[in-house]
Amino acid sequence: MNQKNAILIVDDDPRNIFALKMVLKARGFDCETATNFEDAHKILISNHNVKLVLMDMMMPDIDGYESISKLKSSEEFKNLPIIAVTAQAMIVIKRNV
Amino acid sequence: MIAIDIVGDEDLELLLEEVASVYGYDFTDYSKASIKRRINRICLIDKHKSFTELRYKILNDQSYLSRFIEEVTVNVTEMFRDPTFYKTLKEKIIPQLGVNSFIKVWIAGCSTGEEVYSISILLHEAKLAHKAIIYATDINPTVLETAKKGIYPISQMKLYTENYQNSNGTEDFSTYYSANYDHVKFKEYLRKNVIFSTHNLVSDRSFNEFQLVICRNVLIYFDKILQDKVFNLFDGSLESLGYLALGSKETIRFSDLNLTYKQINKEKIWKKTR
Amino acid sequence: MEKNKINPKIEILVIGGSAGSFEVLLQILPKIKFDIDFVVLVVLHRKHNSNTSIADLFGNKTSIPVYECEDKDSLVPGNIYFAPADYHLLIEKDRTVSLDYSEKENYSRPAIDITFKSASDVFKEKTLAVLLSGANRDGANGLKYISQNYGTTIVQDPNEAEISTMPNEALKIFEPNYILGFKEIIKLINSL
Repeated sequence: MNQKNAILIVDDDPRNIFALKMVLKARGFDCETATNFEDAHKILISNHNVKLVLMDMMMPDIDGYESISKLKSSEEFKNLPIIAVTAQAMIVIKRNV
Repeated sequence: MIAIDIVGDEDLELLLEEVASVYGYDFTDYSKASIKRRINRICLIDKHKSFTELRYKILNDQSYLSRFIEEVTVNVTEMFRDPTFYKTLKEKIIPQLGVNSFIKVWIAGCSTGEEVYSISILLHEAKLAHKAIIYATDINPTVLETAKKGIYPISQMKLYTENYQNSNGTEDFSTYYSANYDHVKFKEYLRKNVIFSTHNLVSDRSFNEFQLVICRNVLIYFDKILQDKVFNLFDGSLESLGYLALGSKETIRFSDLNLTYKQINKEKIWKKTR
Repeated sequence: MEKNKINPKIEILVIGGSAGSFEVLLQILPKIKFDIDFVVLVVLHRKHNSNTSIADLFGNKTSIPVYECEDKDSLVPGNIYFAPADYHLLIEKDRTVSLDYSEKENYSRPAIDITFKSASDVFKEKTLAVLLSGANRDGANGLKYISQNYGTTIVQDPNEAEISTMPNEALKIFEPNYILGFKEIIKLINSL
C-alpha cells in the first residue's frame, strides 16, 4: 500500500512546479502537481494522501486567493493546511490571504 | 492518379527544421515516410502548388500552423479499440492498481479522448474511480477541447458498443452517454477524475509518476531514436512495478526497456520489474 | 509476354489483394522457392479480427519465414511480410516499416495504394508488384505509380480473378508489363 503523505503544488508555471518538486522530492516528500484550481480540486478529491498544499497566488482564471477561500469554505478541505507561495511579500498582500 | 510528391526529402527536412525553430514544434524525428505523406496530403487538400507556397503559408500565417499540426498529427481513434487489450486491462491490470491508495494513469497522446472515456469507464466499473486521476495529454490543444466535451457522432456507437461488449463489458453501454440527434455526450462523472492538458512528448519533461502509462498508436509516427527518447520519458514517469501499454503493433523490443520490463500475456502491456 | 523487361535485380515483390485474393495467395506463396533474395510484402484487405494470425496461417504452408509486420521491423530479403490489419504500411529509406493509423484510403486500411507508392519511392525500378482479385479500386493508382517509376507490374488476368473489379480498374488507367494467371505469376516469380 502506497500511503505516504503527499504535498500538492499548485502553480500555473510548470517551471516553478518543477523547481519546487525537485527540492521537495530530494527531501523525501511525495508530490502531486496541478496548474490550476480545477485540476487541484480533482486531485484533492481522489488523493487523500495530500496533507499540505503549496499554492501559487498569481494564477489566471481562479487565482490563489480565490482557490484558498473555496477550499477553506468546503467542509472537506477546511482543515487542510495551505501555504501561499508568492514573490510579492508586501504587507497589504499578506493581509489578503 | 497518385500525384508526384510536391514536398521532396530535402524540402521536408528544411520545413521541419524551420517549424521547429520558429514555432517550437519539433517534428524532425518523426518517421520520415509517414510525415512526408501527411505533408504532401496537406498540399493536395489545401491546393498548394509548390513547396515554396506551403512553406510561405506556414511560416507567415500563424493561424495556419494549427491546421498544419492537426493534419500532420493523426487523430484517428476509437473507444475500446482492440477489445482483447481492454479485457486484459480490466481483468489483469486494473485490479492490481486497486491496491494503491491513489491511482495515477497517464494517457499520452489522447487525441479526441475516446480512450480516456474507455479507461474512465473501466475504473468506474472496478469501483476505483473515487481514488483515481487520469492525466490525458496531447500535443494538440484543439483535440483536447473535443476530448473535454466528450461529444461524439452517434454513428460510432454501434462499433463502440460492440468493442465494449467484446472486451467483456457487462453494463448497458448506453448508460454512459445521453443521445441527442446525431451526437452523444458522455456523462459528466466520467471526466470528473480526468485532467486534460497539453504535453509534447518530443520536448516536454516527465511531470508525474504513474502506475499505468497508456500511449497507443502514437509512437508509430516517431523514428527509432525519438521512440527511444520517449520510452525513457515513460520509464522515468512510471513507479516501480508500474505498467506501460502500447498500440497493438508497437513494441519495446528495440529499446533498452526490453531488459527491465516484462510483457503481460501476449498483449502490448509491459510491467516495470524494478 | 515481354520477359526481358524484368529488371534482374528485383529487391522487393509487393502483392496487393482484396476479396477473392486470399485463395490465390494460398496458391502462390507456398510455391515460391525458398531461397529468394528479395523481400516479399503482401497487403491484403481483411477484417480486423486478430484471433487468427495471418503469419501462422501462411507460415504453416511455406518454408519461407512469414511475419506480420510490427512498427519499425526491418524488411529482410528472403522473408515474407504481411501488412497488419487496420494499419497503413509505409517503408522508410532504411527499409524499416512505419505503420500509420490515419484515415482509410479507398475505403481501405491497409490501403494497397499507400504501400505500393512507398515501396516504389524506396526501391524504385527494383520493385515488382502484383495486383490480384478484388472488389474495389485500391491498388490501381499505386501500380501505375510503380510503373511510372520504372518498376515491373503484373495484373492478375481479370478472366481468372474471382472478382475482376480491381484488376480491371488498373487496366483502365495504364498498361502493365504483364497480365497473368496465378500459375504464370508463380513461374515468373521463381524465374527471378
